[in-house]
Amino acid sequence: MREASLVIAVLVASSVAAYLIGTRRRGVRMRDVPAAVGFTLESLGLGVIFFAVNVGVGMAVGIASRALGVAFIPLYLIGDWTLPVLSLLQGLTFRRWLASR
Amino acid sequence: MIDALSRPAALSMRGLRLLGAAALLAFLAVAFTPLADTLAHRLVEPAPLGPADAIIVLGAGLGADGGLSDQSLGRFVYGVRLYRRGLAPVLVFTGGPAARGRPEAEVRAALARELGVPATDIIVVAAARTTREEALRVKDDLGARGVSRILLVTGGSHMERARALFRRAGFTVQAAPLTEAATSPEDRLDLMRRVLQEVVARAYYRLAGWL
Repeated sequence: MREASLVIAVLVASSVAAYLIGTRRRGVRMRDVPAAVGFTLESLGLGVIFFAVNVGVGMAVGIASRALGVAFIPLYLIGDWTLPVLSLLQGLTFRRWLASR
Repeated sequence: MIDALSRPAALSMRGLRLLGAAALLAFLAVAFTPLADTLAHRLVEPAPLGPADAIIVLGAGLGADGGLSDQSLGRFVYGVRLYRRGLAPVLVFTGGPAARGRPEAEVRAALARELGVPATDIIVVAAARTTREEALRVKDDLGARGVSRILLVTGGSHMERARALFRRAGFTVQAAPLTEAATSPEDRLDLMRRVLQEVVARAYYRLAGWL
């Protein structure tokens, strides 16, 4: 529980610092924070969708390559930590792109 | 932002927000509560261990340096401990071919010999790449030796699927699962990843008719 407390404390501290920098130096307003949170959640939602698609495609490719005798791809590779992180970046980029319409 | 979008688009954005919020809550619940531990323990049923004909230590992969991964090492140590307790006269190591270097099973066998396990008591099954192949290869190698009762060593979340496959191969299986406890957020996320991988693997094996 000590690790969790430390992580949460650090997040709170950096959020407060970002709030102070944003309001005092960058001129952004507190009332815009909910929209920013909404944007983040939308990006996260898109990241989840990208992740599901990536896992599905990865498994299909792995199973097909086994069935066709092309190569043996361990399906555990689909569980690699890089996949959710990169899926999240895909979601963030896609959401930003949608917002540019 | 939503106001600037058409109605269908706004609805889909609300859906995305809900999905994102659910994902965030799930992430926080896994990282900062004992949820992963609880789920992992539900996948294991501890049972007293008795004598068997062989101890089968399933593979868990090698590290980038060609040494045993943490999971592989944990299973290896547990298997050797069971052997030292005299629960079976034979120690079987599985673990398939590596991208470079020796297969996992051979790395384990060499380590066991260094630790004083007689070479005559070690059997290496190095050709299997999946849990199903491990069950079939072990059956091929041990069936002729009259081995029927086995102690199966693997991770707790992996045990149910592995035990079902070895039973199906004709063995009487005693499960010797490694406890998978997590004490930090990172450990909990990793444990949940393994639990989810196992859920997907079971679904795949059921669809394929192997379970």
